[in-house]
Amino acid sequence: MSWRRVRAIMAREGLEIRRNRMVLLSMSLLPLLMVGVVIGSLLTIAGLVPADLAKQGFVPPPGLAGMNLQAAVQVLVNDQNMLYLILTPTLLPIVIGAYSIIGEKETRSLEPLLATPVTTGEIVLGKTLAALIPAVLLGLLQFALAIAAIGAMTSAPVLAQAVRPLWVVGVFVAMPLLAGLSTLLAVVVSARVNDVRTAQAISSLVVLPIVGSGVAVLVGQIYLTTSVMVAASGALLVLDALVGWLAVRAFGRESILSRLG
Amino acid sequence: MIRAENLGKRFGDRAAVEALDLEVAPGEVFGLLGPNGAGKTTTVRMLTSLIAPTAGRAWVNGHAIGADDAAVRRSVGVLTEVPGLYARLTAAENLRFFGRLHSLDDLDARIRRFLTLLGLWERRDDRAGSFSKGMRQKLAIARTLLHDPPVVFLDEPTAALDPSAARVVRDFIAGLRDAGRAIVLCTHNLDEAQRLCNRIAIMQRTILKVGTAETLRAELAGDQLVVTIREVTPAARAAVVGGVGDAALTEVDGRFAIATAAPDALAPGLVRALVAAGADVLRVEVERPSLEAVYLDLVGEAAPADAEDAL
Ligand SMILES: Nc1ncnc2c1ncn2[C@@H]1O[C@H](COP(=O)(O)OP(=O)(O)OP(=O)(O)O)[C@@H](O)[C@H]1O
Ligand SMILES: [Mg+2]
Repeated sequence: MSWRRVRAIMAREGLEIRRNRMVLLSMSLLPLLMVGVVIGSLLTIAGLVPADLAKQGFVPPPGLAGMNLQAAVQVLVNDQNMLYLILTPTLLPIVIGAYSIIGEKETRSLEPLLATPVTTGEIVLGKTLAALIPAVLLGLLQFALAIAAIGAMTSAPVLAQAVRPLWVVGVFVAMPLLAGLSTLLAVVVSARVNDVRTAQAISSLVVLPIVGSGVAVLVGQIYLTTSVMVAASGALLVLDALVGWLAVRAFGRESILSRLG
Repeated sequence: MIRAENLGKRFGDRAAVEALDLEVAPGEVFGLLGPNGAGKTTTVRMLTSLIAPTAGRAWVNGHAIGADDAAVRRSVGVLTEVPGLYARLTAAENLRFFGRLHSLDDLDARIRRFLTLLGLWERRDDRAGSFSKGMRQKLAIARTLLHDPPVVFLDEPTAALDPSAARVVRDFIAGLRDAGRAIVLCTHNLDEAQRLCNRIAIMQRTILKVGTAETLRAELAGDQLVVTIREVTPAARAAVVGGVGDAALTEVDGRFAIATAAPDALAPGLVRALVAAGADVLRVEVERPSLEAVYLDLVGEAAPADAEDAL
């Protein structure tokens, strides 16, 4: 594994992505939307006053006992949105990842590339990182904007809940690992199909279970705590390694070249 | 430098290349000539470790194909059939990327040298996507040679080029040859093959015949001594027939063509006899069959029916 070659691949992909405004634009849309959702839901509950909440029989969960009722509701709403913020970056690298290998076959640049000393592992790693890094950066930006909005629209205790260890681990560890998993899956698909559109369609499908597991949390199937988040991150790390290995396996240098489009 | 023994490649039940033997020395341009679908590109792909042979063995720069592919890829430069450049990258960026994959150190100097040599230095900061067909081909040639590979494969290097650009590229190839590189040149251009190649292989799935342009032509039909006289008199005709003995003779409008292996031995006596017979000798020439004739004789006039290749 030569880091110099991995970096060369990343740099080239990066240049292409930066020069393809539409890709960057479409990637940034979803994170911006999610920040909008965070702001929008805080605005929606702004009208609720503690007296009404008490009348409706709202009881804050044990962790938030002692907090004023309005703040407790804000924390619950933010918690739900925070999970979205962790899940959405999973969708961002799919377009780039799915294009990465079959796209080069279609523009015929794959053959000269494969004729150089670059190894399959270096190609897969370089392309994965190139798709993952902008997705993670956008995910972090999205988190930073959401935290800024929460800080501006709520009280200090509510803000403190938004940056408690559960979400710090979630955003800085689980989110990149999750996005890495979907990138690698997209690269696997890209190495196995015969055209770009099929790659993008299949990759989106493949990522559904990942997002689905997040939704399971939302509807209360899994109760999220910091230790659940740490355990999930550990499991994701193993999965990432596994799918990474699979991606190198799936990339048959000869079969990609000679398979008929 | 390059050696192949009984090399073969099947795609499903179709044999693209079969029982191919070849050997290319340093400083040699080896031409692969053959109709569409003859297996030239497949051969190049096998010898550059891009696809694995289904039969036989081969070595490039001392490294075995299949066993030492990384070393093979380090030793070769390949100009693929289609340039395959990155359209959104500039000419210089395209080369920089490949230079980094080859771990080259003096990259800026190399990029400058090759872009200048191929007349693209002024356009170095333009995107490859904005280049004309010929400029793309030149950039791809620069990419092929950037790392100074000892073994070079060129799949139809001048196919997209105008005559003067083709000439620049041919001179360039001749320079590489003189610098001791081993070069395999796939081409449809017989004239180009004749001018550049030390040896030419005519292939159709396998190598049908290999030799210098000279030996290939000589092998087909041999030379012809052609004597043209102003007016054919019975005496003149008798002089020719008497002079050439039983050598194959054809006569058209005062033009006698005699197939012979040794025109130099025949010509002086024949001219003396004609002059003695009172004939005015206008021209005495030696004609060789063209490489084209040899080629057509070997592969047949019609290209093989191959629907996929017509696409
Ligand atoms: N990936 C592939 N799958 C199936 N058949 C293939 C594949 N690549 C090449 N072939 C077949 O192998 C044969 C040789 O093809 P090849 O491209 O090597 O010919 P070529 O001599 O380079 O022709 P051209 O002059 O048209 O470039 C053809 O019959 C072709 O259809
Ligand atoms: Mg070809």
